[in-house]
Amino acid sequence: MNSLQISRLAIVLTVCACSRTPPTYPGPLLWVEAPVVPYPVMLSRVGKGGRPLRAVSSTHSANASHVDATESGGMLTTTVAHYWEEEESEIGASLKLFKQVRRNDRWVEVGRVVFTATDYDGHAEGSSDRELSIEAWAHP
Amino acid sequence: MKASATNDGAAWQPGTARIALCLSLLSAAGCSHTTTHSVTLPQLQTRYPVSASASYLDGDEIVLRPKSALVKKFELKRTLSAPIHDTTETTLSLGPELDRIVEERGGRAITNLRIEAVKYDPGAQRSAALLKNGGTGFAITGGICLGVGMLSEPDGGTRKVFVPTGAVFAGLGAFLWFLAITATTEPSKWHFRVTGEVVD
Repeated sequence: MNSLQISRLAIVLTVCACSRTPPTYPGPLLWVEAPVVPYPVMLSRVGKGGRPLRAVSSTHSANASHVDATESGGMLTTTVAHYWEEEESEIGASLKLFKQVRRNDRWVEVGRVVFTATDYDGHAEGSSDRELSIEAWAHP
Repeated sequence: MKASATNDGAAWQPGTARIALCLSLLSAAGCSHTTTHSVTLPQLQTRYPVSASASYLDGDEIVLRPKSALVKKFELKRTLSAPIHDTTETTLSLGPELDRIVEERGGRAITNLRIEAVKYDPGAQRSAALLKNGGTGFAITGGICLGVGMLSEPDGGTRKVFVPTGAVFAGLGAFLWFLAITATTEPSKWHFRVTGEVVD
């Protein structure tokens, strides 16, 4: 391995790191709404008690590139050999929450809503996660 | 690393090259940078009832369904920032603003409140990570070259090639890290849009 090969290795590793593309999400990303339910969904404080409800929805995107290195006759060959990408998403947290409401519940009181974004970037791999969690109580 | 202490670079042993490559790859694999930004919307402590549906509860827990003709729509936008490569929890405070909107419009409650996270901007998360990872990779490569050069014979060709090469790479690594912590610091941002209807 000479200085030229070392330089090539460093450059390939850098190119490998740069080959990732950031995820693109449709907008709006996450939301809290209840336009069609026939009962009140109170975001302001009403009272204590009730049956606890919790719903979480999230989107996930990850991708990576991988360097293969082979050596033959004193020559080091490096190639960006693999590239994969995955994306996942699921139905909204609001819809999940209202599916837990029973027929005899008169109203729902939302307690806490948390939006969380986590972005991870490694050398040649990365991921992006967006999550919405809703905690509520159903009042019969 | 004894095999590297030969007269010149051409006599470099293949096994040593593999070790150097593995060290570089393993070191590079250890570079990871994570930004976590959580926004909490606590239960609203407002003077007026706020509902996400078309009906709401009054103070006596009676369900009211206002007529659509008395609706006055409104929209708010909020942006919350947090530093990159860190874990941050921020709070989305809407209560006082919603109370003010109800008072200004002469209403009694808010219905059909919708809170949308319209966009999340990761800021300089990725570019700063790239610079840091690149800097680490170059610094480790430079360190390995310097180590190999210093272990070789003082007047040999290996030292003449590897020491300056290592110094250049180590310097480049330090420069990239300097750029990462000084030039790429744009925070991450959650963008919210809040819409609703003031009802009488």
